[in-house]
Amino acid sequence: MPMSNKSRLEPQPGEAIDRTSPVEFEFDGSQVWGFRGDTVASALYAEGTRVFSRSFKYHRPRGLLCCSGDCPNCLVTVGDEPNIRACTRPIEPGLAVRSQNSWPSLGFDFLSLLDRFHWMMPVGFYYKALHRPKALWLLARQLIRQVGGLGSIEINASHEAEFSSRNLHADVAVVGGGPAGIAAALAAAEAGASVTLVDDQPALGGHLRYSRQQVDDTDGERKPGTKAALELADAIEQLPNVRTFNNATVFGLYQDNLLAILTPGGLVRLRANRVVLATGGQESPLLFDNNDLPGIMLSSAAQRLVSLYGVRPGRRAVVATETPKGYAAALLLLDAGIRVAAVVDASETTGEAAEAVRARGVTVLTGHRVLKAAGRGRVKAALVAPTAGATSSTTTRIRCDLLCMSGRFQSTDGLLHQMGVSQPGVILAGGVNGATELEEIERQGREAGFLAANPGSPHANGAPPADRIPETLPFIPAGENARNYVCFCEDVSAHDIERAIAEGFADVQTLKRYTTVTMGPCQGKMCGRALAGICAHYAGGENGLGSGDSYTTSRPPYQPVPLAVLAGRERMPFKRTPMDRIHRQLGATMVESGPWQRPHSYGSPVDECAAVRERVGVIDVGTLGKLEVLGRDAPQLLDRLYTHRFSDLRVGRIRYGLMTSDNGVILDDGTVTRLAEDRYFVTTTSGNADVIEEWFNWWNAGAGNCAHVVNVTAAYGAVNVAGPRARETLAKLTDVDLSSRSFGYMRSARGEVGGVPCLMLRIGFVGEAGWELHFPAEHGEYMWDAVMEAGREFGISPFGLEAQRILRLEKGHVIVGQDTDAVSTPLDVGSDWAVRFDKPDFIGRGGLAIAARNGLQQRLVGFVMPGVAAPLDGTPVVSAGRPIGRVTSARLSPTLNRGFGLAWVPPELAREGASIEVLIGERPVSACVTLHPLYDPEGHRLRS
Amino acid sequence: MAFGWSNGAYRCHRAFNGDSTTTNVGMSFLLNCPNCGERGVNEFRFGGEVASRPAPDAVDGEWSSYFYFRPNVAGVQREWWNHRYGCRRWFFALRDTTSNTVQATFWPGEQPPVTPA
Repeated sequence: MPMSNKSRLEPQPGEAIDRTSPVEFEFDGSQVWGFRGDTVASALYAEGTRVFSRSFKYHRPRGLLCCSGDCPNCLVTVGDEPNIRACTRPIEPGLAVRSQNSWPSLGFDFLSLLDRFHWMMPVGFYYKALHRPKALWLLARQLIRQVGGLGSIEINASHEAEFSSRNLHADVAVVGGGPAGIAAALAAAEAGASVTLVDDQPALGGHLRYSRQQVDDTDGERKPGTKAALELADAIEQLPNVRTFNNATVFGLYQDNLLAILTPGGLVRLRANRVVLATGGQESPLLFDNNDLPGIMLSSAAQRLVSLYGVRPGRRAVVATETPKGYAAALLLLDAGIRVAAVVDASETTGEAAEAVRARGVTVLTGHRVLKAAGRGRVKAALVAPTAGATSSTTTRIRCDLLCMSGRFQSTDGLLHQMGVSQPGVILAGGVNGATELEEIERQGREAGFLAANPGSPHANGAPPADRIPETLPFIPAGENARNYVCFCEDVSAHDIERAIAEGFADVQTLKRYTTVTMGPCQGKMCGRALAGICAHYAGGENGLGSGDSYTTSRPPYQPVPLAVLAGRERMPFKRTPMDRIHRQLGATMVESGPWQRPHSYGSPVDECAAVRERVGVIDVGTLGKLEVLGRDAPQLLDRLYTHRFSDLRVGRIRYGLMTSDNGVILDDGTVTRLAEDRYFVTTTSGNADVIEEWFNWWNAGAGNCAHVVNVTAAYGAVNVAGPRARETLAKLTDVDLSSRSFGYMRSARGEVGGVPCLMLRIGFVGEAGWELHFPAEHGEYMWDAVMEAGREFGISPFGLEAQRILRLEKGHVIVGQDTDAVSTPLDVGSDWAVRFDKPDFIGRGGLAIAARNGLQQRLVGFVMPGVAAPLDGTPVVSAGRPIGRVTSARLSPTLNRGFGLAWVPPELAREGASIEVLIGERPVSACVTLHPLYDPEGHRLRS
Repeated sequence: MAFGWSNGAYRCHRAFNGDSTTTNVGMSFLLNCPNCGERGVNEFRFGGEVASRPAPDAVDGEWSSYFYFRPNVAGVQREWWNHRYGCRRWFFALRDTTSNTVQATFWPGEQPPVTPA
């Protein structure tokens, strides 16, 4: 059990922790206790941790600032994930949390020395000081790179977590689960829309979750905000047509309402008809000297600690505010038993909360501001002075260990600005739209939800408020050495920005690039308004700072996104042939081949080759692309798309076909069988079926021809039965006359094999007498078993992709994509015979005619090694140590017991018997060029 | 001639896209397939600008500019699109390349419903 959580308060009404379930985890090697529902930050704070990180540039100690996952102050490493926000990561038993960017420890960081020399390192100092001599810059760059950066990546991390991407749709997407977002979701769902509600906190309710203020709920009852939040979340849960993502961030809003959402389960791409942006906003930090000391936080952060986690943020608080929100925070602190030393109000706030604070005897200083926070490593006191005319005599020192900041509200509108301000279909509601009172926030939410669910209604295309620049109190320059940080991410002070303006960075966009303000992990959430305030102060002055748009451009991602999420698997399914189960039962090793999974081998590719050459083998070729081309104009379509001619092909005959793109580059090859006058059966290389189908349809589109392309790849299973005893094997299964006289090479027939209707093609990729059988896919397993059974007495063996590759290589058959590349033409690979220049036109004629005139640049040839070594696929062909070509496929020939393969060589070496050198390892080994197939060059066995 | 290959309106640069599994256009706009209706652009394959294919006896220069040169219009252009993960049909789109707004989609052989601005 937790012995002591020294900063834990008594149970708070509506708190998010479960005090009956303690959770133990690790922080920088020591054990820490918290409760279920705690975040890493709240548990550590309860245990007394006040410094959570070291700042980016000066390594200043930093404590909790926002407690809502927006600022960079609590970035830690969890397990092997760097840069996790401790204030939003829930604790789990055994979690290993480490601090980052400090050495040797968070408490004593050697590099905090840099802070003493901050005056030496203004914005862009390395450009100014370190560029001459050149060697200095190289040295400095190395140093800066070593020191720079926050968390470090664990290169050897093993990732158990798997990220998948999902695509979802919704009528209405609501971003933000506060009162406006909930009201919008309820209204849209009531109107019948399907709604997706995305919120970045563990539970819905937005600011109501931590607000102790009495609110009027929709049922007219007055209740604390915490209670109202729970009831609203319940109401959402009741609705079947609302899908809710908690702990999820919309980090990108793209054209036509595509939302990129980072969820705990991975990336979600959500397409919505309408988007309601109810992202609210938050208090901005205040600018004063040392405004980054631990113990200084947004008032909402202090309220979160108290209300959600029952954690005491401090014992003696000063609340510095510009709005009534600070008073509400003071009341909540008082209720939790925390002493409030003073409320320092830059304006003259009146109203219910202000009266209540005064009534409880708290010192209220209106028209005052904090000039400076005192303390080293912790806030000890606030130095307070009147807003106008501060002098040393008017400065008061107020002791405190907690300084709450409540600057003017800045709306969280970065998503909107990603798309420019006129994104159609995006409706703003609530705080992001300038609403401050709960009643108004909920009214806007309801309206937005209704509009979004009824896109036909007027004003459905919401426009953002005309005035995007919030009312800003005058910026008061603080002087040379003030450490008044605008940007907590990258340690940019107001003075740095003033100096940059003085140097002539006269536009907010160039200021951003030069000072890096708004470019850190918070993406402007903390610094946007302060920057706008400073720019407004200098606008129109002698520095010529434009008074126009004072906001920088926001771009995705709005929140840091782990690369693993973006790299997450797309759910692209594998294709399996109808015989897939049998291959696995036979113990085949499967390989990916395009979208397919295919058997690589069933044990020994060499034995499989021997079976095909000596007896009979069977291979599953169901992965071949299969198209039927039908219609009166089918012959002309094929004549146009293939380099060969098919209109003169006799019915029942097969012809090899080669297809090129218009510039003559080989796209695909396969066989074309004429089934009838107006009907062809076309095969494509495995995995290319869909693309070739698109290619056919492309050229057919709008041409007004009577030609149709039907992709039957999935409808037919296919096996190739090949080898000297293939005929005997199949003869046992069919009545079709298989004799070479009536069923010659490149002929086809329809018939029953084992009782299954088949299209039989006599072709020979592997160089033996063989038949390719195509049959309805549902008979796949039966057909395989029937062929295996019939071939048993002849010693049949299944063979896989590797054996097929060896066998075809012995025949010198090219595999498109393996032996050819993005510039190979049929002329280069020696397939001139398949190009019919006598056709008036075909796709590729223009490019091939030019290529034929220009002569060959390179040529694909066979080669044979002197011994039993074969080079690797892709190794260079060399001459005098320089590459002059490359090997595309090479294997050991089981028939010759020598290395051999195909290679690209210069045309002058493309002659029988020429000697070339290929690399085996680092060593050039000479090989002999051959233009004929290694195996059965005359094709006697093929035709037998 | 029944067979309309030489009918100039439908010809295009046809670059071959060997990648058969993804479209990966890296954009998010919606495209209205004339057959299936409005869908996310990641369901489609982009087929490039519509252009005229030279006559078979054209000179080399004409062929090479057809192979390798594109007007790359900043504005509205006529493009080929294929609804790869839908009806798998090819159609034309008039798209403004500066804003990714699609003014019209229609079948090859049809007139565009609106004239480009």
